[in-house]
Parts: sequence; C-alpha cells; structure tokens
Amino acid sequence: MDPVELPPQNFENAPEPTPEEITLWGEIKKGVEWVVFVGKMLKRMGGPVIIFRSISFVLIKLLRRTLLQWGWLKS
Amino acid sequence: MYYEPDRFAFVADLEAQWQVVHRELSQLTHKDFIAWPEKYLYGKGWDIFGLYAFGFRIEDNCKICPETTKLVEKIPDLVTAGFSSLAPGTHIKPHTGYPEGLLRCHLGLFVPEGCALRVGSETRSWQPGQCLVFDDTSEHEAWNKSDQTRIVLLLDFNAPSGVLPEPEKPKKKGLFDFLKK
Repeated sequence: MDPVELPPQNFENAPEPTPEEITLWGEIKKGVEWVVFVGKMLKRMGGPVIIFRSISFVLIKLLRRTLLQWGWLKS
Repeated sequence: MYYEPDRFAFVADLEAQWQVVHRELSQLTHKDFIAWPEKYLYGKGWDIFGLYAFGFRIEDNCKICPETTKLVEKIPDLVTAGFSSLAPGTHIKPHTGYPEGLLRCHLGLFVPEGCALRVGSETRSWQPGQCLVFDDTSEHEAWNKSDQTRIVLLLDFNAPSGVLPEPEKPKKKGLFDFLKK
C-alpha cells in the first residue's frame, strides 16, 4: 500500500498536502503548543525537584539542538 | 529505514509480555492521554500517554502502569517510552525526527485493519504483540483509516554503536524546527 497514492479525502483530518510555508506566527504557535504540552507533562512528573531538573534539562537540550541546527555545534 | 527487530535483544522480552502491557493499557481512559504538540502534522487525533520522556520518569503515569514501566526500564539506553494513540481517520504527515542517534520501536497493541506506517519507501502494518523498529530520521508517516483507535507502545532508545549511518550535516530551518522530534 503506497500512502502517496491515497486520495486526501480518505483522511477526515488530513491537512492539505502543500509544502508548509514557514512564518514567524506559525513558529510561535508551534512553540506555544510545546509549552502547553510540557506543562501538562510536568504536572505528572511528581515533585518540584524533578520538575526543576526536567526544565533545566529541556532548556539545555533546546539550546544544543539550536546550535546543532545552525551548524555551530557538531553532533 | 526499518531494522529487523530481532537485532535488538529487548524485543523478545517485550513481545513475550505484550499482553501484560495490553491489560494495563486497557485500564486507561481517553482523558489520561495528552495531544501531541506537533498539530501541524496531523490536525487532531494523535495522543500520547508518557512513561519516560528524555530519560525522565513521569511518575504519576508510571504508577498507573507499573508492569509496563518495569518492562520498559529493562530496555538498555531507553530515552522515551509511552503509549501512542491514533484516532480513526488520523493521518500524520510525512516528517523526520532529529538526528540524535536514536532508534524508535513500536509494539503493536490495539491495531485495527487499515493502519500503517511508511518509513522511507517501505510501508508496514503493525501486528498485535509484534515490534517494528525504525530510524525516525528517515521520512515517515502513519495513518489510521479504520473506525477504531490504533495504540502502540512507543520507545526511543540509543542505537547500539555502528547501527546508524553517519548523520548528514544539519541545515538551517524554521525558528522552532529544532523542537521537532
């Protein structure tokens, strides 16, 4: 089964298959979705120490990913 | 690309115990799941129930699924674990993960007909109690064309040395694309 050949009407929720245009507003919305998601996950982590450790870890991870993405850091 | 699951020792144990995982999953309700944040990839219908995220234990969820937690904790170099739910009619658009030396494993749990995962040029369907292992830095997409929810146990683990090819030099992308997983 080749998904490329499937007509889009087969998927009720399928977005348009056009290439995604990158806009600042679009990227901000993506960032907000992540913040909401991380907030919900943190509530289930259990305790302030683990939450602090997790936030620190995520911030370091994001910084590292940014530097990798921009080619300033080698993987 | 897909990897043959029997290359990874933990897979046999996981597949042998899949009904334990299935039983714990059956006790969860839809409200226990959280929508995956990359909604631009799927619209709505992709929800997760996390046990481990980037190596951190999600304590409250692990308490609800103690046997599944014990099983995933045996996996060497586990990074992320949780249930991934795909509602009927959901299509996750083609996307790629971030090159961090990980492999992804899906253990099929609730797998109705009409669900599949394309990785690169190869499309496979999940089977209950069987694992698929793939490199999520290859372009992949998934869909559920059935009228029932598909749920798998999703695991990310550090690939044993020499398994993954050398990553390509990263290119600059959108402002928040570094968040993509």
